[in-house]
Amino acid sequence: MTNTLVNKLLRRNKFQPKGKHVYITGGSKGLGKEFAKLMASKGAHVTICARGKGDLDLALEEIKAAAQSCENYENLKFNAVSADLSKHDESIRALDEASSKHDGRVPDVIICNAGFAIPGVFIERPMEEFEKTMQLNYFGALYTIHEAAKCMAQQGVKGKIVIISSVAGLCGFMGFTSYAPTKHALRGLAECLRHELILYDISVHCYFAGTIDTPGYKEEMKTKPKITKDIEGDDKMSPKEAAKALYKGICKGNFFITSDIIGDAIRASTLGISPSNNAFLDALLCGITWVVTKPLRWYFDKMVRDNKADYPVVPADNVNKIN
Amino acid sequence: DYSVYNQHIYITGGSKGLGKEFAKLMASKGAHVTISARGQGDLDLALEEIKEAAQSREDYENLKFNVVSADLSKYDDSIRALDEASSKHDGRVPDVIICNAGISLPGIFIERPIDEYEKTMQLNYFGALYTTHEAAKRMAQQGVKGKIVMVSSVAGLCGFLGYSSYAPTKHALRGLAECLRHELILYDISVHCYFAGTIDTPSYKEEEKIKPKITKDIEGNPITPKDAAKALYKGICKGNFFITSDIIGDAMRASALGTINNFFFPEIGLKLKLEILFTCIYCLHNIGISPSNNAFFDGLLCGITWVG
Repeated sequence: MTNTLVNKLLRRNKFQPKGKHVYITGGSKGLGKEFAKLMASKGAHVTICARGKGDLDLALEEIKAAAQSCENYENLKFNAVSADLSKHDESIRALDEASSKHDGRVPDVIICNAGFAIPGVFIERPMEEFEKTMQLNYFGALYTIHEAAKCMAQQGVKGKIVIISSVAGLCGFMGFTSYAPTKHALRGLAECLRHELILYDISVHCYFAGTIDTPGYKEEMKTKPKITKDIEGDDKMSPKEAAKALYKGICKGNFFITSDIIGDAIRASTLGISPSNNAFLDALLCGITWVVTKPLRWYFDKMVRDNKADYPVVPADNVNKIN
Repeated sequence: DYSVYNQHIYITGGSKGLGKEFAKLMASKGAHVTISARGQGDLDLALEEIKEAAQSREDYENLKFNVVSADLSKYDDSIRALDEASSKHDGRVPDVIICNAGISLPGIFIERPIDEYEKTMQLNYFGALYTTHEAAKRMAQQGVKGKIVMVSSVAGLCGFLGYSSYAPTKHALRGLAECLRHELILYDISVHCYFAGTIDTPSYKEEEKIKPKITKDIEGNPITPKDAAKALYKGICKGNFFITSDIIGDAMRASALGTINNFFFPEIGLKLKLEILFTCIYCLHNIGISPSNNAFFDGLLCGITWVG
């Protein structure tokens, strides 16, 4: 997506990564790493942040390799910061370190991507999983955004904040009770901030990714209930494709970004007060989805009803059962 | 249609506002009620009002009304509170759980301290989660085909300036409710989610003190806790998953100021009706995969909202 005439006419050039500093949390693997490489190839400075130093170093090599053909390669700065982003002070420290490599200037683009999911049967999972998931997925993003938005406002940087949510942030199914609320919360935050950060000329985007084939996804499959797997289906995209879709959406200036037709359909049907990407198409999509979701949901509900025996519960014997 | 008669209703945040009005309504319909909140003083006062609401019933002597003081943002306290409530009913988990306890601290995003965001999520979302998780487990184990009701908010369906600490928590409740509606079919437990508009409660008055002006301008006028409770009750009885304040009956009742002259389109009344109408229309345009209340009507309203 370059600054060509075509893209200018179609208003798809709203984002020029060249020379900008892009800060990506969870940037050592999966979507974060592929997006980092994409940004590097477009001539952006990149800082990635994650926990594992080893993964960060490996990713950094790939990012540098991706930028080698850029004309301004010698001037580009690629850095890695190791931090536990689920902690407030570490998130601040990481952002500080990233900024320090650029004379204290806050990054121009913040990609809040760090997150994970532990799917499972609700009443069987321990509360601690729910707490950990919210702590990284939501608070991990919040801590970085809060600090970055403050710095952007104070330094007069008209930056971008990109929040990676999920289709699970637009709807919910069995198996995702610890994950969907965290991604819904990110949507709520993105929507509030899209509106409020107009105060400081900071733009906000929210990416509702579908299923991406990452190391994280492979971990998820270990605890995911069968019904959840059946509903999700086998359709997944590569991290590279997901990164491209995200980039495309940002260039078009879309607030709500999705990368596949299902994501788009759900997006259109849960728009509420959010900006449409294309008002006419969205209305059409919303109408079609409204028709399709009725039988679809009936079918998903039936899957649960028909498979109750697969999820037995040990009955309590200390109480009279009165139905 | 669902009947609350002889059911045990457990309400968190039940000593004030919507929780208390709903408790009184339940008592008047012949339900056993346990309310849970932090302040013992408020709980005791509320208990008196709840008992009073049921006094005219002939089965009054058989109804059990109890209070439990607990900090529901803490896991252990939430379990203890549910235990105490169940112990008054031979260990049987309540039939209906209303997760209503919550706070809102509106303000300018970059100015508010991070701990406000943490506290709000801890009570609004985790407070509901802890109780729901334990209750669902027990309902499944005891074979109680119960109900779980989450009180979310219109701020759980959209967000704007001032609500960055609150809207995410209410969105999270929607996400949880939607997942649970689907999953708890396994145990014949039904789930409801109430997207309340602005309600005139003591908390609301506190919020108004710190709310940014832009936020106040966007928000409409509040409805009374009594009307909100009625709308919630109606939605539960009809079996609606997504519940919003009723636009016809209760809106008109809320705006009716007694005299015939005022009944049709009093100045304030019309604005209130339109705001409630907007709320419902808005919710429907955000429905995604959630069940509609009335498929045809919803489709129509969805179309209107798109234009709006």
